[in-house]
Amino acid sequence: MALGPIEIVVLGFPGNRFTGDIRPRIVDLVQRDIVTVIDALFITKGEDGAVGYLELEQLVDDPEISALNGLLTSQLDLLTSEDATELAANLQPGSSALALVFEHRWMAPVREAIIESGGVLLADLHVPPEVVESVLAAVE
Amino acid sequence: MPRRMGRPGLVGTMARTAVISGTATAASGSVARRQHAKAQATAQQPAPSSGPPMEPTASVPTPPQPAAPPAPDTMLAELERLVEMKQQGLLTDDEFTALKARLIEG
Repeated sequence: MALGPIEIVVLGFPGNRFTGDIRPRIVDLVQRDIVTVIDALFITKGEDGAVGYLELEQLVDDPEISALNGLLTSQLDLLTSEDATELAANLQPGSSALALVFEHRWMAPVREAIIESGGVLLADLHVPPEVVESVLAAVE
Repeated sequence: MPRRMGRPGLVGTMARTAVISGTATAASGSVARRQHAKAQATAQQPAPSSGPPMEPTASVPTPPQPAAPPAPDTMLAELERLVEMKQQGLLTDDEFTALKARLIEG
């Protein structure tokens, strides 16, 4: 299975409620085939620092999250319990976060064009925001 | 929830392959850095880049050898295949690591 570039984002929210415009914005991107959500996990950290996780389908009492579950195009379970612990590194005790695994669909036509023209993709790097900030700071 | 246990995940695999593929910056957090250091320590042992090719045992299917350094998406597919084979118990940890290193080095 050929996938586009994959990106993991972990979102934390005050009061642990996933609200606001986020879901409609993601739905919009999915409908326009710009991204697909290929995995998602709700990660929790207890007051004692213990990390746990829930599948979106288990979060029936949060309609926003349940609705996101409908967007999942596959059940690949790419994130593991080990990953949940890793992703929870910056999570405050007693709070939770939503981890989403996006596939960047918009890249597919570009990639096809590269292959058809006989080109080679020599590098495809994700630049962490901290790096962007420090480089920009040096430019100023 | 056994479906997310006992196999490599995206983040863990990224941290473990960081030393070879140069994606170290993509993995964040102190744990990633620790895993990175660990990966570095283990990745130094099997270095099949030069010398005789590794002898596959009878039960181990050899992945197709790319003629040229594989394009990133071909490599990803190959990596996924290796992961799959390891999950199915067709490859030992050492074999997996060696084949992965060879794949990434092209």
